[in-house]
Amino acid sequence: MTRPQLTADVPVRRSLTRRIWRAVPKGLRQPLGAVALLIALAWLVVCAVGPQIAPFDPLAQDLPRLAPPGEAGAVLGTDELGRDLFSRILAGARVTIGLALLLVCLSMLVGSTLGLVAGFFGRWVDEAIMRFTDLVLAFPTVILAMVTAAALGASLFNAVLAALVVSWPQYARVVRSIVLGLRGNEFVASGRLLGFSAGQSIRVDILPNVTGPTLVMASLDIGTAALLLSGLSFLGLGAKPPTPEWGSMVSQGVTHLNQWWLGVFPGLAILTVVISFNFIGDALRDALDPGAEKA
Amino acid sequence: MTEPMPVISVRDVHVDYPGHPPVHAVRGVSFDLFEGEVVGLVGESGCGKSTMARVLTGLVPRTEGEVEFLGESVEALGIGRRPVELTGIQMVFQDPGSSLNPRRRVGSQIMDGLKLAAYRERRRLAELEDLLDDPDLPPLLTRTASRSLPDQPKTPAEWLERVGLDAADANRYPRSFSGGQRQRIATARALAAQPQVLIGDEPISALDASTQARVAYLMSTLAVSQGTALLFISHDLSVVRLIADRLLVMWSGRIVESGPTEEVWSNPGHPYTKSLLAAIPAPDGAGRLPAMPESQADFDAPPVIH
Repeated sequence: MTRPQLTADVPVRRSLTRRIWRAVPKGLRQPLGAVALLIALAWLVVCAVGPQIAPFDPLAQDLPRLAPPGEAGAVLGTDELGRDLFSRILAGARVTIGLALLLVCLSMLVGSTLGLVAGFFGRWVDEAIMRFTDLVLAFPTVILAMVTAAALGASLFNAVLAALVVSWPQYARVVRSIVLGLRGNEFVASGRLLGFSAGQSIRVDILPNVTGPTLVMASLDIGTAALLLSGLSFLGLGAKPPTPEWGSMVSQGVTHLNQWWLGVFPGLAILTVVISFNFIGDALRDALDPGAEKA
Repeated sequence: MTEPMPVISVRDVHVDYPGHPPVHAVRGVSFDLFEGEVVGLVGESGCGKSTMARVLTGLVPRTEGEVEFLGESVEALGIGRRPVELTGIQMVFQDPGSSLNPRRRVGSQIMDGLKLAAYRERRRLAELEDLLDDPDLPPLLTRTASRSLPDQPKTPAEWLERVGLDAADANRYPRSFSGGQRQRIATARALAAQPQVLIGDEPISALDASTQARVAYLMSTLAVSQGTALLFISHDLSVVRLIADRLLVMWSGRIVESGPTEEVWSNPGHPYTKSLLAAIPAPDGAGRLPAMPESQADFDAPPVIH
């Protein structure tokens, strides 16, 4: 009896579309992941062209006030000043998502750099950086951000700075622990024996092994960042009227509980962004994990 | 005739690890390593072999004693770049899983060694140029001496072929190689730097029995072919015997017996060496482990034979 042949001898030539498809992380090829990716991409498109595709001017107050969804041509209704909610959500995407991305990039940059330096150099450098990190972490996040934003003055950029103050420490902690683990690896020692300087060692041996987990963390953090910035705007410490920003739109909705659409639609926008970026973060983590089996 | 100068000279080295009480990992070790020779350092786990290897490279600071590499004192590696004079000591580590960077192609990792060799060669030429202006006679060995022999591989691909792998493997990542293959690549990386001394810190202990002898043999042939002294650390006497010219038997932080391999093998003088030899597995299923005979097990003053 002959054994069945398990593998083909002839190399299979895959079509281009199939190869592109296979390059997409596995998690995003699942139905839920694919939907998340599509939603995130759609939001990014809206960020780019939102104000152009909005049916009305997001700042114009020429529609009936507090019109429910569908009335007077306003798909999602209008707010207390007669502005089209749908147009404001489209225009607000650029502010909310754009600032969330900016915040995540800045926190990643500041936190990872400090974590890298602390983990690699150890001793007093590590002590100094980590005690400072603990100091920041000791304060409740939102309170510290509020105090900072209040001290800096209410503006969108100051809200990002205030959020940065509270969001870098988690990157510093995680990156430091990864670097501590890596530093003991034999390939790092072997690089040092081959004459690598500290900078070379960080660039060649440490950084490439830190990038994956940090990027994943950042993608998971985009939702939180959007929520934090929206929260600051909700408290009146971020976007100032009439800037369309989702958080401040939700905060307006709270004052008009009978007009449910005022809070629900911007809230849904925040929710979809948070969930879709979380899914992408999960998929990235699976894809960048060196131990994970390659599809 | 003058005595040959050792490439590495170790004098009364002690290493203590802090703790309560402190661990005396190495307690007064002395030996010399000469150009082109293969020395086996054997002993049970925990006897201080790996600590000794790390002291020689400067990865672990010594508490007392002196380690000299071509007349230059080997100091512990700090946060700065390793002095180029000391890069003539290279090491192949124990764990094939972490001895290569998982995120870099193996070709680029071997290139690190080649770059270092090229740098050392430039330094040597510059030193020689300086010496031409010097009215005194140039020394026979310069500290940055590099033996750029004509038949040495010049590219990562050639190095991979030299260690029995495919030239095309240079573009692959470490995860696609087996443990034995990774140790070959690590050997290529270390030897590409054209070091005067290569230290193998139990490079074969994580490999399966069929690969062990092959990797050990490859390391020693390659090292000898380029005149590199090899200090091969292992707890497996049966493999070390195949490649080493000389044996150092370590027990409890001391070298308790040393001598030419065949002599130690056929006529072991120290009771621990005898039990180590007796423990080489015979296919009888008894599974004996080496141990110092109880009557001799004085950790502070074990009998020493040279």
